[in-house]
Amino acid sequence: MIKKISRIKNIGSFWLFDWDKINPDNCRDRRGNPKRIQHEFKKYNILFGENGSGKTMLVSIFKSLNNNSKALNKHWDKENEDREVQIEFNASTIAFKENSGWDQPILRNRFIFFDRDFINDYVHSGVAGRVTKHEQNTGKMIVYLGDFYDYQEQLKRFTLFRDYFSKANAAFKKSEEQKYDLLFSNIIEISKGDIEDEQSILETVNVENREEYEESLENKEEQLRKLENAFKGQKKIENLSSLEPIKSPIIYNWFNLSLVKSLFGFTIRDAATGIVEKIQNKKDFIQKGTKLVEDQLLDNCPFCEQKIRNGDYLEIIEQYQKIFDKEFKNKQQRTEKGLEEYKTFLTNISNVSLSIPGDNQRKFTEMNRYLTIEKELPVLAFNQEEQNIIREEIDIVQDKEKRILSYLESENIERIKQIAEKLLKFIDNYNCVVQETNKILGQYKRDLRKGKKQEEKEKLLQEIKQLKVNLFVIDRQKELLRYFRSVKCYEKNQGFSSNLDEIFDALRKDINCQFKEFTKLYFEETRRYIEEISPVLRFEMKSKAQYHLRTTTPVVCGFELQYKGKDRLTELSEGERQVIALAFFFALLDKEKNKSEKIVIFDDPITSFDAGKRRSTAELIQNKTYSFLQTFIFTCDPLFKRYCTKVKNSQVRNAKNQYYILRSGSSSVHYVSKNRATICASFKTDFRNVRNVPAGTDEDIVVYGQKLRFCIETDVKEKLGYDEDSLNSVLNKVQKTDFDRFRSVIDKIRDIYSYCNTGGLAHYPRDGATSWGELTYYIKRYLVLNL
Amino acid sequence: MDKENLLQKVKEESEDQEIKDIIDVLGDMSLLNEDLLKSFEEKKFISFEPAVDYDQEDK
Repeated sequence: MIKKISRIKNIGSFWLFDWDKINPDNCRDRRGNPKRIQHEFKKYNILFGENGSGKTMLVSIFKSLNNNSKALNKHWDKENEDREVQIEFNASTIAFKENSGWDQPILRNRFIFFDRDFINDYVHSGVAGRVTKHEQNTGKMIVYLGDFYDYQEQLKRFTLFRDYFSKANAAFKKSEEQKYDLLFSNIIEISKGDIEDEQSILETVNVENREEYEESLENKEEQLRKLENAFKGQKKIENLSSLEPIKSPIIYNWFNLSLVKSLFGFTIRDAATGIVEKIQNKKDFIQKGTKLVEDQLLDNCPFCEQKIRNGDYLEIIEQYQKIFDKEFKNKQQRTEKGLEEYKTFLTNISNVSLSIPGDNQRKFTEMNRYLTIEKELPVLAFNQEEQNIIREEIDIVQDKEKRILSYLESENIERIKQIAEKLLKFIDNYNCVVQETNKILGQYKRDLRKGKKQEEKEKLLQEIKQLKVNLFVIDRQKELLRYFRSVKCYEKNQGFSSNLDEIFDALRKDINCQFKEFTKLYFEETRRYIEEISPVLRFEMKSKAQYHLRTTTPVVCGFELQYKGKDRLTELSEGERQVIALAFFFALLDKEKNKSEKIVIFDDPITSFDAGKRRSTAELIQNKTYSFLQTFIFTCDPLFKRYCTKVKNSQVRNAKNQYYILRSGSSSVHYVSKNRATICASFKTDFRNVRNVPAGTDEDIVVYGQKLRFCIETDVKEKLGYDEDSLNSVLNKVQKTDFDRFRSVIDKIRDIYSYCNTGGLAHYPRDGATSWGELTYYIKRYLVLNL
Repeated sequence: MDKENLLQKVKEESEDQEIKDIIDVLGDMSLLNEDLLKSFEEKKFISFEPAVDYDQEDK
């Protein structure tokens, strides 16, 4: 519970208020014994004060606590000074400072207020803005008991965010699309439709492929160029003749290194060796025989032993020589033939370039203008060194031919073999290219005639396009990926938007349910309370509820007030408005949740009521607020306490009301016990000791001024037995009575009281308006009166 | 009138965890639109900045 408003400084009419200084702890009981009382607010608190005494300002402080706001007006004369408030709540002190506001929000949303604002919010007399709107919309006057404004605000707030998000998402999409469009703005061949999706980008995007794509694009574009040439020069292509193969003059198969070597190695010895081998086992015999024959020492042939006649031996030798000659001659002839063939072979190698068809290269070049031939026509690479070797070898062969029986040797045979193999390989390769080229040419001519080349062109165009797209994707990968991912973001955001829609629909559905529940419960309750507070209200109350969730039309929820079929709203008195508002407030209190945590504030709840209603309503207020944590009733009705203390509900009666009184114009809160005299006695003791107050500061002036004022009012009211709203009324009455004692001092009382009000003590000592010395002078005058 | 926080009611009634999470971020709707948007972005409900860190993530 709120225990104290410990301190208020520079808030509204409160320039300075200090709870502990103005509500003395030490007083005396009825028997005059000293008593120490810790004055604190209790469950029920009635704060009485005349108009202008600061009641509404205290309500404002509670509202500021409830809203955790800094909306508290400063004193009009102290605009440049800081504000300060301290509230004791349970064991905590909640403090308000000029710069930081409330230091802890523990009392936020803990209050429920019935005041002028509540009445204006819910019960309109026909001039309020919202009523006028409804009047226009519905054509009827209506009293509002609830406008669901909070829910409408929540809905509106939600809608605003949803719209804000939708716009942000749409702007995001538009921005990304503009960036994407810019990528294609200077490119003719590629359009947005050529880029499929993120996956295709990621598959294409390998930068290592760029070179391959570029090369492929170059080839395809060359092919296309040739194709286009082909379409232009179709007749020329038809006239292109096939390439001729090289008719190889080289017979390589017989090329045998040992054979060639044997050709060079042929000598007379080589021939004789064969004969000798034949008679190898008779070598000595043959040698001896031949020697004998040559030396003509024999009469008989050493081989056949026939008598050798004169001259016969020559015949023998000749015969043997003939044997030798035949073999030798055969071998020599084979050698000579071999050399001839080898020479031809070498000559052919040497002249192989002459066997290449001379027109082939020209035709091949012409074909290349139209055809795509992957292989080039091979060119014979026959270097000088190789030609020299061949020429040298031919010279050696010719030399051997001339000196057939001389031993010759060639060092080039191995190289000749390599050259021959190289040439044969060249010829094979050349003829292979010729064959392939001729095949391509033939196929090309056939395709051209059948129109297949047009299809090929289309295909080429597509491939070229795709390659360009691939290169574009590689070069613009980040921008393209950003776009496709932004599309995904947008779609995800749209999903979020759908969720917001779902929440919004659920919210509206709940509001609708709340509204129906509200109209059902509150109409009945409010009508019942109106009858209880004021049974004599004569108008008809037709409940009306309209709630257009899908439009901006404000909620209509309330009563049409009619009397004899006519709208009577504009004719409502203040009292009638207050009855309706209070009835609705009670209905709200009934439905309030967490009652034990809430503090109910009434600001002049019954001011406009007649005496009968005041009593019943005061009792109703106490009964209805019993379940709440605490209740504060601010009133200018001096009889309110009396109504409250006579409440029939024993539970409430036993709750021990506390009655605090705000003195008019004093801007302080004084606790009023059953015996006010004890407080006055306490204050008077302070007055008698005033000379002991050393400083006499502004704060002392305010506190002692408030005490002086309280004592005068209490003395006059209590002792004279008048219980009027205004001290002046009391004094006027006193003047007319026979109380001589008071009549004699009446002018002095008025003088002191006037000093309290006009001398600056009412709220604070205006600069130069009073002083501690002046105040103590009036205190002394008051004590002298001995009232 | 002690009006119920209907957003919280919607959260309690919803079986969709994402709806519940969204309402948690919405809170009592006291934040400005810009701040709410930022909160949702931070909590990855929405995004206005597509990731294009190709080299690290996608290759």
